[in-house]
Amino acid sequence: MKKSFSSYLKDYMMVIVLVALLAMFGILCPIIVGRPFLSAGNLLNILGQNAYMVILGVGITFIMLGGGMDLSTGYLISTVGIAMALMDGAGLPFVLTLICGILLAVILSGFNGAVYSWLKVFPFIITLATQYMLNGATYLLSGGLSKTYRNLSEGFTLLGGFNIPVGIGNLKSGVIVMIVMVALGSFILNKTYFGRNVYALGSNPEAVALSGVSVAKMRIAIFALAGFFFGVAQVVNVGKIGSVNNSMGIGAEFTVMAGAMLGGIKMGGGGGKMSNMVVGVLIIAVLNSGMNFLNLNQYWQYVVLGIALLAAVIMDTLQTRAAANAAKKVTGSAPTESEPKTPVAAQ
Amino acid sequence: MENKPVLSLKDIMKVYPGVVALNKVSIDFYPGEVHALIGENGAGKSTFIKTITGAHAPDGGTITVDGETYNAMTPGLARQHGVECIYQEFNLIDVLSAAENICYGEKYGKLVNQKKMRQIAQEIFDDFGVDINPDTLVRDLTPGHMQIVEIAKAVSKNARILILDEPTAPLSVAEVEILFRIVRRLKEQGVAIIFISHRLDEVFELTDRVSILRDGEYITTLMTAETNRAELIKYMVGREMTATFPPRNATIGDVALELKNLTGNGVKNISFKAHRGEVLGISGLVGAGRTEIMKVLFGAEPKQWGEVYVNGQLAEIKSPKDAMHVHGICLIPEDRKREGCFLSETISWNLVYNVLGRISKAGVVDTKQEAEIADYYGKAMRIKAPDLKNTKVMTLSGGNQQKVVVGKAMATKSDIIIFDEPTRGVDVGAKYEIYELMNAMCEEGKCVIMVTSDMEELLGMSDRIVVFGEKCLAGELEKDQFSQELILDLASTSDREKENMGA
Repeated sequence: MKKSFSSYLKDYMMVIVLVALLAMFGILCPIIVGRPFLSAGNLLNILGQNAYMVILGVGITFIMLGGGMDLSTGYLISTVGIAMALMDGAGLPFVLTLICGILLAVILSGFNGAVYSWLKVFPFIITLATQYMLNGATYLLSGGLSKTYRNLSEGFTLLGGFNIPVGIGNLKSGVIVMIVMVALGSFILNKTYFGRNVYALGSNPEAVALSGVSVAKMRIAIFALAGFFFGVAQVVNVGKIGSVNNSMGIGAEFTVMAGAMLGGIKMGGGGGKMSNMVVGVLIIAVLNSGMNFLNLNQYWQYVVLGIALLAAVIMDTLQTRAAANAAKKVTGSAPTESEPKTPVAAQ
Repeated sequence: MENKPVLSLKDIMKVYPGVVALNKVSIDFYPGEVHALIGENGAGKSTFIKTITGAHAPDGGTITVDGETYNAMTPGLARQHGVECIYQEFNLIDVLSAAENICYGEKYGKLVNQKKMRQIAQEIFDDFGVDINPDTLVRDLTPGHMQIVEIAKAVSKNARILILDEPTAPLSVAEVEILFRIVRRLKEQGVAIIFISHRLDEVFELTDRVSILRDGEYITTLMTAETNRAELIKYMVGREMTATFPPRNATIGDVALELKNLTGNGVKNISFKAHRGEVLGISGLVGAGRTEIMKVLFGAEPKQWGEVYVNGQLAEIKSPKDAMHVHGICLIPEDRKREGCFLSETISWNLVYNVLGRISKAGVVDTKQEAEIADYYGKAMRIKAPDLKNTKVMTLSGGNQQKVVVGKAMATKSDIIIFDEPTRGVDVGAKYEIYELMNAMCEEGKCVIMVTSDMEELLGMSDRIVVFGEKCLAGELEKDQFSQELILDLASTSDREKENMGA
């Protein structure tokens, strides 16, 4: 099948944007602030800092490809974080804490999926409601106060913040977990029947129902699976930071959804690959890091991120609209005779 | 046919509130035959098909498949017996490849086996003799190829009864040829094919037998080779005209609206004239593009080329606002609940909606004028409601809702009124009142354009009729030429046929 240059360009657009951003900061940073941006150490640091974001993105990608969305992610991982800190503090073996924490994430996210399956409304309002509930739960778990839990088990550090020397710098262990999780997510998405049903559900739920697959069960399963990745992400995040507090995940849901959308995953289903999400999240990571290097005010950073997201949506919408208009276009041209002939019924 | 029918439906009844959709319909289908099912809009073809696919249960009668008799099918049961239906709206997953769609729902091994799926798809495509890359995403295929993927999917599930619902509508001439080749091939393999089409030339080209439905009644089944177009049309339209229409006392005046080669929204080169004091009927089968071109005329969809003249003056209509407030054209849309009115608001609120600008001072609505206008049109439209100011439109009957939509349009004081399916979902009494409203408009010298699928209404109310073919003009009839047969004949002529005639 021949693929046109423009379709290649479309496929790799965001990779080009990522490379362009790296190049831009690579040039600007040494000139403006006199520090190299494109050092191995810095690039490894960006990866290490954002590994948990990418793992969250794997979960969000499943939800979005399946036609949903999730506003509760950030609060969900906060709750899971506090729960794990409490279990750890109570002396539970690390492996058990790990399993229980991830299981809790699976259950909480699965609850979103269950309500979604039951009510069959777009999960915006459902996950907004659970966002509130989880925000409350986080503080209730820590005894009604904002708390920071330190001195956690070594296991967390091992999975998230441990520095592995790789010659050119230090690689955080969380990046290894991230690679494993992205690979696992891609495998499920591309190689299993479940993965194909995720795409199918986002594209045409009627067709899924007609082929005998339970749409309700699929939705619950998708959210539960996403919960697994959310749980793992929080373990990595906790390991990276070395402590847990009540608000450490808040806002993550917007960053990962923005990243996924920036990469080309459409809200409400409509295709995309795991790699799209990774590229999108990394674009945000590089933007943040680059602007930090340039000592750009935090609030300017928000403005820039918003513009980037808007630009991605505009581009996507214009493409879709152009395709829809092209489909309606009549071929040929206007008749040339000045007086159009009206066909009269043959007798 | 000496062999046994693979599928036979007996005395199938289906009743919807107020309508008998199917009245004791019995038809047998044999393996290796292509059986056409024809009838006008609303004849009951879709309901009949849904009975076979198990999409809904009939209220009476039996369905026998492979010698087993059921009172109702279910989707699972239908699939088990090899019943596959291809609807006009494709049921594909556009983000998956052709091969993945064909094999969707099947499992080969524990994991997704791309190689196996590709091989299965390729074999079917080779058998069909079509050149489609199994790896192409469905959304990148042409409509014709999408349909072939649908058929390939059915074939891969060992379909033995294949239903094609208006399969040729989205296809180009060349794609129709490919489809027919595939259908003939499946027929040789002993598949029973039920072919629904309003293109009669295709019925003659492809089918062995043809069954005709009309208004939910089974009319007859004929050997296609032994009948002709005129006979089929006679059976399809042979209904008695029972409805009565109010008399009209209008004189037909000057041309109020003229379209010259208006093109856009998928519809090509529409030209007609409409006069003051006249009801111009617009006829055509579902999907002929009538609503679509009216939206272009109204400025709701972009125009590709062509001109619109209002009272002899060239009119540039760029938006519905231009149409209503500059040129005095109003459109009463087909889907009144979605496009015609605000159901959760009151009658008054709706009636003045289009003229808020006129009755507002510095952006503040003059409530006295609002009440006056609402009162005037509420009375003129004879809206039956306890109170215009507090009654919400959603609490009204279909007929009264339609009167609100008409009143809302009339408040703009338009001279050219386009009704799109004016009496759909309206009870008999309210229908008559809507006809009286139309007559009153004509008597005032307004120009009424009526798009309708209701044959009785079309013949009963129109002064002239414009017939649409598929996305184009098929013909125009004066009152003395009106006949159901002629209208259907014009409307069901396909592009292909016209091309053949031209060649």
